[in-house]
Amino acid sequence: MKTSEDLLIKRLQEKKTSSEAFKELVSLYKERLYWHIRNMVKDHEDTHDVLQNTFIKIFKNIHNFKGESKLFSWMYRIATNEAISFLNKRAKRNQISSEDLQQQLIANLESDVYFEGDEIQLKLQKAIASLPAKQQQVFNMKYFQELKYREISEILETSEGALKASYHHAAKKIEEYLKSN
Amino acid sequence: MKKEKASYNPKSGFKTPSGYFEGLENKLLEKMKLSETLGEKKSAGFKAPEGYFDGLEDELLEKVNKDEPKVRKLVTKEVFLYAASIAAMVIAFASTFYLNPETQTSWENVELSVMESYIDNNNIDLSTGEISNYIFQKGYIIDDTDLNKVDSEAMMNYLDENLDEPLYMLDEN
Repeated sequence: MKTSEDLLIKRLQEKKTSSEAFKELVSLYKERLYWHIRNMVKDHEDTHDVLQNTFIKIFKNIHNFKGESKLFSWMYRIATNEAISFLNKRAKRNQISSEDLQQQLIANLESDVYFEGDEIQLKLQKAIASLPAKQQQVFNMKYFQELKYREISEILETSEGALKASYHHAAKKIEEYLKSN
Repeated sequence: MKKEKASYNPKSGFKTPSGYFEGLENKLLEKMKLSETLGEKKSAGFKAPEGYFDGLEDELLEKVNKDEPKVRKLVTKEVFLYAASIAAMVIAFASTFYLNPETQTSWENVELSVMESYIDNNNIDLSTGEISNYIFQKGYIIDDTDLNKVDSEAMMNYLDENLDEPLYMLDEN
């Protein structure tokens, strides 16, 4: 039996119904993908740009989607790749390393009108920025978005065991950072 | 301290994922530690502008309808030779009239950008599925048989600058 997701994909792939189906898709996933990207790129305007590119790519490539993975994880994967690509380009343009870019993004948060975190939340962002890129992604998805390891595993194409170890290391480093700063 | 024996009857039919109990103490402790330091609040502190999500569907639909796929046309060997011969004729013609014989040039020195704009201006019809037999290095075309001579940095720069749709390389799996 076809699920509602299968039907939505079919409608997205048919020219006649694609526009309405696309609006439904955006409505279903806009907030989840927005916060997923926002946790990675930090700034609202940048997030908006990446979100737009993500949905455009989803729409343009939906005919290549064969249902071998879940639509949800396929879309998250596109969003993750778009955000990484955005950050790499930004670092390259500013002629700085990815690590320095992370520090720069966090420094900008202090004057960002769309950041309402308190001192401890800012400190947490600094701690996250000090982690290797993959650990940052795993921590953000597990801690803030509360995704299941199974879901993160599909998105990042990494085994659940490796993800658990990654999250464990990330949490430990954050704990240490928060205690010593 | 003696470990308490599990009072679990395997006949109940329940089971746990393999390795579930391994390191459970540490995982719980870690969770408690983070909660102690950060409190129960799990917000990152970001917010979106008021009403940002309203009407996003229409805005994005308008974008996708406007946005044509940016597929960069790649040159096949046949088309390249065709374009090269035309370019060579143009140069030969121009050099007859305008160039000093001492500064004559040849089509090997024609920059790829010239070829590309000739093709991009729809002077030659190319399908997007065609794959180039050529790649260029430092602005000039080389044959694919010379690929071992391609500088890897030049290759990465070319891909970075010219690949508009990296998703085409993204496998669904």
